[in-house]
Amino acid sequence: MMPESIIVPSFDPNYDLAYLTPLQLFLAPYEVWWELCLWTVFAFALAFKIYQYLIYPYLYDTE
Amino acid sequence: MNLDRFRNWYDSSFSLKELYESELLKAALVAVLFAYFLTFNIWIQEFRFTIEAVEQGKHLCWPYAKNCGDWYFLSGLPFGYTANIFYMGLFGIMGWSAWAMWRGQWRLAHGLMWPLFIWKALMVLLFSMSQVGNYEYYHLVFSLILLAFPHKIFFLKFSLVWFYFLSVAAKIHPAWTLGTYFSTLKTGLPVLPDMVMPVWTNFVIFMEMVGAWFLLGPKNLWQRLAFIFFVIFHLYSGLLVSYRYPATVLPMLFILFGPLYQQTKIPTGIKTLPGWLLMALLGLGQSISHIIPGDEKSTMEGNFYGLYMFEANHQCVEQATIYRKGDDPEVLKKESFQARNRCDAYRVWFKHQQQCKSDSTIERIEIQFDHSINGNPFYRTIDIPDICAVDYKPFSRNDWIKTDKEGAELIGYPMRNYYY
Repeated sequence: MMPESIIVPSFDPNYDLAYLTPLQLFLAPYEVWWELCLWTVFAFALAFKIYQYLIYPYLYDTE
Repeated sequence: MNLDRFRNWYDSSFSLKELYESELLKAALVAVLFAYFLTFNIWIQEFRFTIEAVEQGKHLCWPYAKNCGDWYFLSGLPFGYTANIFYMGLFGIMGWSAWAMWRGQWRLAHGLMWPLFIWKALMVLLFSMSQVGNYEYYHLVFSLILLAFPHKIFFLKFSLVWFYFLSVAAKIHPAWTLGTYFSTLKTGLPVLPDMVMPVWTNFVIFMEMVGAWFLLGPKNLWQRLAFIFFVIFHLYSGLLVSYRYPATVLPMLFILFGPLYQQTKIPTGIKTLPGWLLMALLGLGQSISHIIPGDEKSTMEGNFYGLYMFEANHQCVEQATIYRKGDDPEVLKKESFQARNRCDAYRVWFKHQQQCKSDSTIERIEIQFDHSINGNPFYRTIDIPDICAVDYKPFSRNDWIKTDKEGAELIGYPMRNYYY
């Protein structure tokens, strides 16, 4: 399974390097922006959940 | 202290009334015990936890406890029996705990789980880094909540969702946002068509970041759909990770969020403090790799302090040149083609540190280490004349590990690799 060497010195299509799918190639230039979007959603979700679980129950205790 | 007073103290200290009154918690205790069987079944055969492993430099300590080998006391086959005797002792405790559960003696079953938990926690978090795994973190957290914390049901449910959420922090990277982890594999994603790979990987990110919270909501269609998704997700991921991970998480998923699910009110008061502190600690552990500068997927610094499942597809080539007194240099070359072998610079450092300590004829060990992630080029991330002369800092940047942005030399390109 293991080839003689796993490093190909330079780009050579025979070594099956062009393995990104067309969709990945299309999306690749926007990847950094997409990561930024995801981190933003992550931060908002975290802030909202902190409010929902740690602040709201103390402000409006329904007991 | 007489026995009744001890029982009362034990019950109130560890909130056992919750356990006695909840079939859900009893089922969870069974599931957690089952995971101890899975763990110790592997550890009884684990050579790297033995004193012989230390003698041969084959153990692996955490970067914050680099001398863990000094504390080893078990001897493994073929050199001795103490490890097997110890683990068969734990087997006896597990069997006794299972018997107590069957007889409805839940305090005894609970008490017998303490030595199992303490041993596992010490091994995973202090004595060894060689058996670290995401599922071990899940299991230890479930165990601690069940054993010691008030509001057990709520924090068990919350911790599982919290784990899903935190795991996203390891996934916001091209490995998942573009799906390059899987497109670098010769075999691609199991079953699903590769053409739309980023759709599948981003859907998992979405479900773990947003969808998982619906598990905690009222028992409605959204809660059911989230539950079904995560059941399918764990069964599917088992195609790659085998039984261990789904066997630890799926039983808890069914018990906490399955057909018998009932929403749990958010608890308040001072008794919630241990639970929230534990959740904060998990969040802190997850953030360490992001606080350390540089791409942690390449440097691996801080990677194992939080969840790291499928964080990047790795390939690496290590060349070590060992210089001994009065001898020709010995060149050793090692290549890794396995996507899940993390190619951790710390492991390279630790292995050679043991060599230098145990062999006084070694003058220095020169290292060239080429690392590729997610099908990107190989970069020479380590190129130093003597790895034994440098230190490894556990919580900050080690400047002898370079990234492509810090001038690491481009060496070549990887071929597609395998996950096995």
